[in-house]
Amino acid sequence: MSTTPESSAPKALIQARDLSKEYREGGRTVTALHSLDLDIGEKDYLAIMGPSGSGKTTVLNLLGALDTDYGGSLRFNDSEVKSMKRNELAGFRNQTVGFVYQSFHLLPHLSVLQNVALPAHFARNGSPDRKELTKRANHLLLRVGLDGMQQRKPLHLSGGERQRVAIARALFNQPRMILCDEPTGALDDATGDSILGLFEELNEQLGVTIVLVTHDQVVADRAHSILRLRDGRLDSAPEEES
Amino acid sequence: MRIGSALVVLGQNLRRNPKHYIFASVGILVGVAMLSFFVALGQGVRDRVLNRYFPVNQVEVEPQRLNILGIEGQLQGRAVESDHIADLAAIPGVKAVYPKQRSRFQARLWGGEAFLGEAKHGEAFFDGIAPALVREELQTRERGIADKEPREKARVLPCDVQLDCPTGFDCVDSWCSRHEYWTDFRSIAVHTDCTGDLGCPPDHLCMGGACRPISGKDSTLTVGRRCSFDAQCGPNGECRQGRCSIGVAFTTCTADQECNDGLTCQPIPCDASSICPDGSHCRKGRCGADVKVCDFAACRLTLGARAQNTGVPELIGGAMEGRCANEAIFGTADCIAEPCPRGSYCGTSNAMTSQGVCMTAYPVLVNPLSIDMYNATAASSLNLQRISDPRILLGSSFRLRMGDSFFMEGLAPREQITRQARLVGFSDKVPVFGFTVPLHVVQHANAHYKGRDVASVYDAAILVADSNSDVSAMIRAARSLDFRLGPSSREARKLSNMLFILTLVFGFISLVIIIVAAINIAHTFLMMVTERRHEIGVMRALGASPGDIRSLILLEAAGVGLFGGLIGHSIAYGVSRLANSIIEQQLQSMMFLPGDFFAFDMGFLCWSLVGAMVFAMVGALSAAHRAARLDPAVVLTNP
Repeated sequence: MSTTPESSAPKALIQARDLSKEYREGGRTVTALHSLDLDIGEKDYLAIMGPSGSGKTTVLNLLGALDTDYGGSLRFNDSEVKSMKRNELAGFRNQTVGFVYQSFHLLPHLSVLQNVALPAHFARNGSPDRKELTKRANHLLLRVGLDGMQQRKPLHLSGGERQRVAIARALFNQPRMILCDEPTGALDDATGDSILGLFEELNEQLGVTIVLVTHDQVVADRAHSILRLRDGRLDSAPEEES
Repeated sequence: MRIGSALVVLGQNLRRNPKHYIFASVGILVGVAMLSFFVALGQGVRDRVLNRYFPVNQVEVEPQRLNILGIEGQLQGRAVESDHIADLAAIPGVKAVYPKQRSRFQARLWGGEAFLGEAKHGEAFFDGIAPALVREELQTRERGIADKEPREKARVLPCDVQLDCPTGFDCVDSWCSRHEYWTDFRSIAVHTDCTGDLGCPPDHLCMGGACRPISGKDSTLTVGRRCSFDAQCGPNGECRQGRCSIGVAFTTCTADQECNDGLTCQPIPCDASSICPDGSHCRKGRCGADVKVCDFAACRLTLGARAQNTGVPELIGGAMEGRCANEAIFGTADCIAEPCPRGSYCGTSNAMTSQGVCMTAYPVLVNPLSIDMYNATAASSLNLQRISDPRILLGSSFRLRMGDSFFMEGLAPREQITRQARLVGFSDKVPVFGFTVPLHVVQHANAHYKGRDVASVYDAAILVADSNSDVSAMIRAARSLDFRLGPSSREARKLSNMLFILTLVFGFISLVIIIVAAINIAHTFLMMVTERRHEIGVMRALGASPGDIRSLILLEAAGVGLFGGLIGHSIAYGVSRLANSIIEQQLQSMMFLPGDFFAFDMGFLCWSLVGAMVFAMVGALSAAHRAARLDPAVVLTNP
């Protein structure tokens, strides 16, 4: 990962140039992000840190194409995100990105299995048949250590288990990148540690790019590199972890 | 998002909180139930009650009449003539025209001994219609009555001859099968005494003292009069080589069995040698030629039969003298007397003679309502036996005395003719106060009493349209020809319009309910979208486009509409069954009630379900747009 373009560097998965974001709030304009330059490569594991209001979640929303109203340029595999059509954006989120949130965002009325398989229903190119869906969801649940809990409802799971379900869901369409917003924020240390271990495993074994927003230094230290933000600006050069 | 996936997600959402959706669908349910109930009732009453009495595609027209201070008079010369029938038949969309003629003379009737214990008397009003007009109706109605018969009674028996079968059954192909009375309503051979052609109906000639049809396509022998000039051959005939071009149609035969309607196989009848073929002579009313034809057999009434013929209420029965079983001439010493052929009786030319000819009873139809009215009024007021089963009436006979009346002075006894009539069916086209016979029977009687001119014109005509959509144009065209709707059709249109307005009113009320339901759905779904904004945000993050979200919400609304519609229809159907049983209980004295007053149409059911879904979707449109516009970044960041 680097914050500036380098011609010799391998081609970036995500390339942000002069990326900025403004909000209208009570009749005045608030700049949430100032001219951010950022390259995220394949298989990167990046932690974004900063105090509250520093623009961490804004960056995450922009990277996940949940927000396309930005200034500057944000390219994914050389495609400008804001020039994508609605359906392309939906397809991008469905196929390329997986989201993991602090509050899990599981649908309470669905079983674990149904939650995991939910992204398949929004696939632009058609979802696999029911048998294949179940097989894939079961495989992912096995991978995140939740085998046997397919029919449980999220309300009957612990926080760690819910986050594992969320991770399995994020992985369902085999995305190239997982965006995590405070994934361990609602978990105890031991559970958080196991979740972070899972991210590392995914990154190393499956080559999934992980971008993780946190304000916890311990969590950030597990990433390959850390991006610090303050008031919507880069606080310092990213630190490469060993 | 594919439809299969959308349905999976829809199912998941609907299962989450069914009470919510049921509550949202209540309005649709009530509206659809009400709409379905009243449309089915309107359609049922139209199809099974109104159309039964006044078929939509059949309209009765009659000549325009003058109405002065509430008293109607017929415009001079405005009877329905053959030309008018042709004009009416030429109207586009008219499939067939059936003329109708009423009896124009006084008559009375008596009968009913078989099921009332004693004969009852009444004034007779009747009209004539073409059998083809009611054929289908009679068949359907009679088979409907037969279907209600207990199984053991309908069991078939083997037979060799007709006598092996019980009353009401015919021996057909070695099996006794129930006689189908509706087949008896047809153009039977009618015997009318005459002294000249003018006493006969149109298309008939007076020959051998009786009116006989002129040659038609079914005849196998045409006997023409000898003539010297055209005027002797009637208005349409020509004198060719000493014979009229128009003659009397006869069916040739070699034995009695080949003849129908009580006719027997005899030498050609004649009143002068001039009409006999092959130069044969006319002796005692029959030509001496070898060829034989089906004709009325002469007969003589027994004393008892004559007594009833003059008005004494006794059963017609006993042997009838005078019919010659051998080939001898009636009245001669060589004649071997035997009764009239099976199914016929000895009818005389007036009330003062015992000499007559064998003839079949007039086939008669009555209106089913008249039986209901008898049960409701006469039976209860006069403590008479009620008629609860229409089958006992089928095949029953009564006597018709033409030229006599309870209301006015009768004709001289020599001009009074008594005929047997037999009830062969029930039709809604029959006047409630009266009965109907085949058209030619009335024409014979009218010609006999009032002359050919009266028998040549009709009182009304029934127009049958190709399709229901042609009816309005057909009525307009008939009006332009100076016709107006007959009383029954006027009544039918009035009732039909009333029914339409009632259906419209209830349809409108139902529509208002459904619109209110759609507003309720709008509120419910807006509330649901607010509650589910987090879930919608998650779906957007997982790849749902705004269109997907909109479709999902609208699909949910469609599901609510479909559910409400289906349950609404089910409730309407259930209530209709209840209403039917209540109506049946209340009107159990009426014999010919339709089995079901409601007509649930599959097409309407489908369209109303589609309508319910559309209304629900329209109601949810605003909520669907709001859900689609939700910003997932905002929703997921601030849950």
